[in-house]
Amino acid sequence: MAETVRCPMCGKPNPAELEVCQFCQARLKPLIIKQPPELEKPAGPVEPAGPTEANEVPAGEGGEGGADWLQDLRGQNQTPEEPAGEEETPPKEEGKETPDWLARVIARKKAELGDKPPLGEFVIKPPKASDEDLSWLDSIRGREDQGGKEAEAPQHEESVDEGDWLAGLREAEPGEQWKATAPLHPRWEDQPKEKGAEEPAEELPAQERTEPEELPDLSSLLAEGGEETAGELPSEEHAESEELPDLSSFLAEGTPPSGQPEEPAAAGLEGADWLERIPQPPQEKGQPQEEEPAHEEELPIPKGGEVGESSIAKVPDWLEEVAGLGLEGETGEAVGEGAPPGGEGTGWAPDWLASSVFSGVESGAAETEEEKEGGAEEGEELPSLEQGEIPEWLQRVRAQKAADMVEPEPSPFLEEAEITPPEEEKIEERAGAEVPDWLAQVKPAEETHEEAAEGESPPSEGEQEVPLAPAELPSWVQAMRPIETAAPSQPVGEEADRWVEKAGPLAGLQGILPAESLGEISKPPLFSVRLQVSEQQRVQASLLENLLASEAVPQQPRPEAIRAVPQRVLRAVIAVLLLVAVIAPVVTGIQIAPLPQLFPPETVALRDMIAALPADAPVLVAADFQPALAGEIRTAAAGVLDQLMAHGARLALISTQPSGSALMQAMLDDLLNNRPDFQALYREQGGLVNLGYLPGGAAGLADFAAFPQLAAPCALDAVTLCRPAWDTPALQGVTSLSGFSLVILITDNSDLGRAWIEQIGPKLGATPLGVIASAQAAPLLLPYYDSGQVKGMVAGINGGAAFEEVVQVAGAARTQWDPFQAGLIAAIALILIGGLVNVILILLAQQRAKREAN
Amino acid sequence: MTLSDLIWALVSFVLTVLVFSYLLGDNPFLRFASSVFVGAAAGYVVVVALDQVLWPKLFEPLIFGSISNEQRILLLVPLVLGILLLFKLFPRLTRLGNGSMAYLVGSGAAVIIGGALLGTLFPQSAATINLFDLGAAESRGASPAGQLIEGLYVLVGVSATLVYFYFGARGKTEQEIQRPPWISVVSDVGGIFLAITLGALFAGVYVAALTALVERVQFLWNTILALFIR
Amino acid sequence: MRAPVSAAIAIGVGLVILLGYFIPVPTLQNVRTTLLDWAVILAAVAAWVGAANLILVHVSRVRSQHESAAFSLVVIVAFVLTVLVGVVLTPANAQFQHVVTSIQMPVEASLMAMLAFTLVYAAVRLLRRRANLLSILFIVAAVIFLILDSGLLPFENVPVLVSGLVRLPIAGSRGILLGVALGSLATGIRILLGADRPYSG
Repeated sequence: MAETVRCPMCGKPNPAELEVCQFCQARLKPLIIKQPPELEKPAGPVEPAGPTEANEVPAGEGGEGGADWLQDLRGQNQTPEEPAGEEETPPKEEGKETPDWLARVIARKKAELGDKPPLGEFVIKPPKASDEDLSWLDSIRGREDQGGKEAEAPQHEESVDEGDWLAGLREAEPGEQWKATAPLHPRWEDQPKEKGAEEPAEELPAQERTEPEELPDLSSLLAEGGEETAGELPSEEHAESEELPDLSSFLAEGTPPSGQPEEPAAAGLEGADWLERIPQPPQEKGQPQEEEPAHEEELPIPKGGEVGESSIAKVPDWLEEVAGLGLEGETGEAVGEGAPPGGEGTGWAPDWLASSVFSGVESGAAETEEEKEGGAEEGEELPSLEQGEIPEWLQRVRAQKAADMVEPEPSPFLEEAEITPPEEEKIEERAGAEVPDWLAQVKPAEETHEEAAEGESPPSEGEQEVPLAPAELPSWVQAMRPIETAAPSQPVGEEADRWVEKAGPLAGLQGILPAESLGEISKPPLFSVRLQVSEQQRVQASLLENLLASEAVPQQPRPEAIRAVPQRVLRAVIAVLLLVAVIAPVVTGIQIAPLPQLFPPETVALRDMIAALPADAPVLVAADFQPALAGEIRTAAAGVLDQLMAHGARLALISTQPSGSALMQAMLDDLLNNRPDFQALYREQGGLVNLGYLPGGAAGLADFAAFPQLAAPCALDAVTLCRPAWDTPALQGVTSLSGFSLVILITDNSDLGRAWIEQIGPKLGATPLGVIASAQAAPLLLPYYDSGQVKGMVAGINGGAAFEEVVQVAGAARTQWDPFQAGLIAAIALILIGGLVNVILILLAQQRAKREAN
Repeated sequence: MTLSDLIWALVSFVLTVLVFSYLLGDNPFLRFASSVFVGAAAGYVVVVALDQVLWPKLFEPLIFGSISNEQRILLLVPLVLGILLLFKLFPRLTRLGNGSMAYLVGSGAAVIIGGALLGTLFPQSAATINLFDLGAAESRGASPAGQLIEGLYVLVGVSATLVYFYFGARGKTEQEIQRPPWISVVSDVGGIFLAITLGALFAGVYVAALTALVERVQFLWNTILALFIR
Repeated sequence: MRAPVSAAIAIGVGLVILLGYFIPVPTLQNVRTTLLDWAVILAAVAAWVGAANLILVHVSRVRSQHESAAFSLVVIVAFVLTVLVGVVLTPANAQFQHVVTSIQMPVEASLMAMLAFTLVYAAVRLLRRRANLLSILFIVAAVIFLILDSGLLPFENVPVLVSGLVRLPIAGSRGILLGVALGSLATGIRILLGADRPYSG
């Protein structure tokens, strides 16, 4: 063969001298980890041992479980292994390393089993020290370093060529047998024929033939955690994602190693019998197997073949895929759970595998503390894979992988999505299965296995019922796994607190920080769209609606027959009529009506009061009226003042209005001008004093009522600013209100009259109070007369006329009586006529409304 | 008639005519007459207040008055209050006059309370009750029956009129605020009495206005006669 | 002046004056009289403030060239002339009193006379605007009392009827008076209690 190397990634041929693929830049030659000479084993071909080969995987503590899956695998691989399997025998002599665990498996098989392993059992030929070229494992390791996450990729995409190396394992290690816990994946074995990638896969040296997914695991297995690995071996829960197709085919093809001392399964290893049978390095024999897996995705072998619990989780993907083909323990545990075989050696594994895998494992194991703890890695003798010497089986695996990558055919192995992890499975249930834990963790791809394979042996019922133990996936791998594929598999006990995001973009992933609870996305409170209206609001709304509706209703036009008289015309007519009524008597001097003959009692009483005044009696005249009604007041008060003057009363004028005193003064002057007989008394003798203006309203009246001399000290005097009023002849002997003989209140306002009555009245004592009021104030002042507070009253022109009539004095009332009567009659007529017309109009409107309604 | 009298008569005549021009509508003549009236009236008030109140009661005693020092000191109080009251003319300093206003309001309120009690409430109530004094009525020569009827009439009228001005009511939920039913009935009766009283008041106002009209018309005629005819 | 001080002044002065109505103690009466006298003086100053405010308003109108600035100027002129003449002549002067008798009275009386036309016009249109029982009763009462005030009918023959008709308004009038008195009483009490403070601000 020309010196060409098939790229394990893309499957394209590359010159042998190249270290990386010229097409995809994948590493062609695995990294070789220098193993101690005593650990190196000849990279012998990993011959897939037959089922009766001694290369049986030593049964672990769960030997039965471990044997089942191997048996299944063997059963699936009824067809003779292809020569590629032999061809895939890794040139162990080339110095490639084999994983420790394989070596141990092979060794165990050889030691224990001398029969041909049962169907489905794989025998792994223990790798020979330094015979195995584990370069392919180095490449695996290298790829694992690059992308450990690729371990999550379906590991089941193994080509059936992988079965060759497993078959070689069996042959090489007759003493050890792998017991398939599940039927071999049919496709796993048949694929090389179906797929065109067989040749490329066959070209690959057995040591190097591996899948991209496997390489990381295997390399990590070799490194035993010393090398950087992106993750850890899958946990036992993640059985569906961890399959070891390579190992399954390898185990199926190969004969179990016989005569190989079986590595006792480490405590906690379940179904890791074959792993335990892997011969441990001499130094490491008897050393306890550690549980600490170097990496989750690594096969839990690398510690010099020691099988520890930690290594259980470190199941390479390719081995997991193998287990996924049906390599289940007797308890149905995933192969992944199975721990790698102990460090008994690799007698059970094919030479090529033992040399390549276990040597690599040993080399990698030396770098980690766990490896040191295990202490078995260095002691293991594992074949090492030399660079370029890729086992045929591995090549086939790679080719198959490449083909799978190129041709997206359904993988023989169950996809992660297809894999339904057995919910009922518990890792504890797998306890006791003689299946390596790391293999037991791999979930068997039962469904796809049955679909793709034709001559596949039906898996035993017992085996199907017991799914493989879930592999111990690295946390980062688990986090990347979709929730739907991982849902059935519940984390067991120790992983019960592993958070699985169930919502959001990271749904299904684990190992991520749980998102802060944003609070329950509860249904928002429902608010009624309907407007909450109370009954009162409803009523008001209806009222408003009616108002608006009434606005929209067009008003009926008024009938033209009935027109409203313009206001201006009516006002003009009224004005004209009144003016005519008033002017006519004034101008013509005609008499319309006689003076009233009925005298109000209050008018008569006032007359009596005045008549009863003694001569020269001081009379207080309060002139609280406005200029507006000065004419009426003059008409009403003229007779009274005349009578008072006729009686010689001393008059003292005062007013709470600024203009009152002036108006009163003017009134008296006019009166005196008409009565010269009174002028001497009141103009010359000081019978008249004007106290002037009293401000303050009621307060001033109260002050005046309490102390009139203090309230009104000065009299109006044109000469002096303040002439003492209470020293004048008019107020001589008067010190208080009660000193007056009569108090006459002249007012045109009921409020002023009331104030005077309220303030002055209580202080008057026996002094009578008379009122000369305007006609507009009389109705409201009449109760005071009725109550006796006012002794007499003259109201308006009627009262004045009556008073004049009573005293038989001709005053101003007579001159104004006729025009007054005329105006009064005109007003009465206008009001009556207007009211009558309005009544008629209303009746007509009602009749019209009735007619229209009818 | 002297010249001054004639002038003043003419002034009155002109002003009267100007005001009567309002019958034809609003016009500048009316506004001119009103403006003159307002200015003159305001001036007259100022003069009268100064001449008849402030000078004799405040300034003259303080400056020239022969009063004791105690009285003079006491007069400083109204002087200060009066000055503070003048600050009411200035918006920024109007608060300084609040005390003076408070003095006026307080004194006015007290006077009103005393007057209302002693001058109206008690006497008027007594008068209403005394209407039922049939003996006194008989002594006056009035008919007791008539007096009784009158008393009842006045009593019912007064009570109903007072109830008419009562607007207290309880507001019930979702119901129109209404007075109690019995108050509504009595209020309606009070309305009747009020209608009669207001009619009387209307008549009185008209009589007063008509009297003013007659007086003005007579003034105008007399002036015309005096100036142009005689 | 702060509100509490003003309220204290109002309440204190009011209480003293009110107590003087009912307690005939000479000292209290003297104090009451003094307080009332001061109120009279302040009332005169308040009349000055009113007149001054009126003039200031018209002055502002003249300055701002208001549309009625001319009439405001007339007001100012009339005011100034009246004050000058009054200060010179004094209110006791008969000529100065013509300000009242020849200016104020004609204008006010003429305006009052104009009210007669308005009242008749309103009475004529009352039933047109509002035709209810109270309106009709009002009009009827007004007409009756107008007739009673007139000499159209020989009421001397029916004095009882006239007396009865004339006394009809007494009930209503007394009710109005009592109502006004009660309202004044309540208002005064509120002021003395400090509930109402119309003097603040």
